[in-house]
Amino acid sequence: MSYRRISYAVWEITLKCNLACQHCGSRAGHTRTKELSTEEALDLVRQMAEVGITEVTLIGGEAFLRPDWLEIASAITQAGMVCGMTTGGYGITLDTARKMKAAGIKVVSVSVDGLEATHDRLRGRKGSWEWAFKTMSHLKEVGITFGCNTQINRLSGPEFPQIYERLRDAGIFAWQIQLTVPMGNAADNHEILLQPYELLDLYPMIARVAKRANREGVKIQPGNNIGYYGPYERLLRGQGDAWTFWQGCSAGLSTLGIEADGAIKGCPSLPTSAYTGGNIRDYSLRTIIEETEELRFNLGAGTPKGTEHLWGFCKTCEFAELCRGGCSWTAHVFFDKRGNNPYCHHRALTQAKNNLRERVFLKRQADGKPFDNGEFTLVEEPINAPLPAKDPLQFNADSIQWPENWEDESESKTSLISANS
Amino acid sequence: MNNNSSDSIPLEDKTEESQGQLDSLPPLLPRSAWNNQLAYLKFIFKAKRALDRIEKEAGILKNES
Repeated sequence: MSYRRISYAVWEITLKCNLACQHCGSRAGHTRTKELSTEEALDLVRQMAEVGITEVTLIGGEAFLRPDWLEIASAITQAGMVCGMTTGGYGITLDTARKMKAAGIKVVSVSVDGLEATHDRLRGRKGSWEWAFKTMSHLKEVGITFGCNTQINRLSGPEFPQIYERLRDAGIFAWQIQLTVPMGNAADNHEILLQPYELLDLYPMIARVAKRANREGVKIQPGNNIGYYGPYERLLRGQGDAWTFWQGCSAGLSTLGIEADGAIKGCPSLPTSAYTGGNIRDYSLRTIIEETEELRFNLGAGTPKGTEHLWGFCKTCEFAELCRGGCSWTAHVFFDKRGNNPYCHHRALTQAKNNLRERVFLKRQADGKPFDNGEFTLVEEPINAPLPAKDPLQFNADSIQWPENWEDESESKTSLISANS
Repeated sequence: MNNNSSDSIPLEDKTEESQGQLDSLPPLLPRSAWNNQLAYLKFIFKAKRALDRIEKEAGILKNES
């Protein structure tokens, strides 16, 4: 059983951004009204180390658009924490990469959300694909470890195997993948979201790519809304280790999310209004973590409190006590409350066994604020019921663009699980 | 940035040696969702057995090599 006991913070140091992503959960673009000053940010670094944070990932917006970002990165490193960064990579020159290295930034994740045309479309800026790869080459040249992160949706999904090949060839050590969910701009562009039943064709594809990645030395890192107790769960989450599988939302347990104005959440993705425990300008980080329900809602597993938030399919599931409704963020942004997660492979398979499938459609638009959500209605229907006619982006196995040289590769279902079970 | 996630790309364990130097109060994080370790293990074993079954039903065989 592999288990790494770390705790990390994902810190939006500015909401300013040079891209305009269709799926941006924080609706980044302009700075927030009252972003933390340098002095406040440096004090927060000290407090993070004091509460036990061991890794800090700087995000935005675009983190490097904040003038003092390297000073913050240096302070994180000097406080004994690993400093990482997630970036769209638009504009990281070789000189910037050298400065990042000097500031102690140890690992960078570059966002790549499709092949060139899809990526540039999703990211709202022509040339952003080219810059992402240029940034990777600069990171490689200065010796900063780098990986990529990719949103999987109806635009990027068909290109997934080919995206993998491009990223592998660029030299990534790890590839973090997650499903796009309806938060922020993605709630407005919900036609690009996968429907729950489409997971049935998505996961065999991801598993096939993951097997190849394992062989080729690229570490697949499933995001919090990937998988859940399907036949590929242990392949994806633990490279086949028999004891590595999803064990519930870690918000407030090993994860913190910090917004640029000092709002503290248990996870950076969670909606601001429902999950902010407090602001660092008003309370110490220790107080917010110790005393606010928004940071403590994941405590109490194995007691009635651990499952009382569950409803719908998740309430009846055989994995309920351990899973606790999967990713809180994903469930909440679909239904405006957590506890019933439509993006679950086990759920899609169980429904299919009963000749059912699930679809969602928009009931209420999001308000248009950072980290906001609308509300969707879930439809359960016969698996062979006609699908909506005007839905051109539907994803299925036939829409996957497999590279030509993969044709002779076996799609065997064997050997997914290692022998140490 | 992107459709955000709590996930960063972690490096391997490299930070423990420097932790503790700054601390005057005990660290709060990470903390476990579970108060009862026995209950936790019970659900872990249950999930493991269920996944064994799910993979078998899906035709995924263990690599015995």
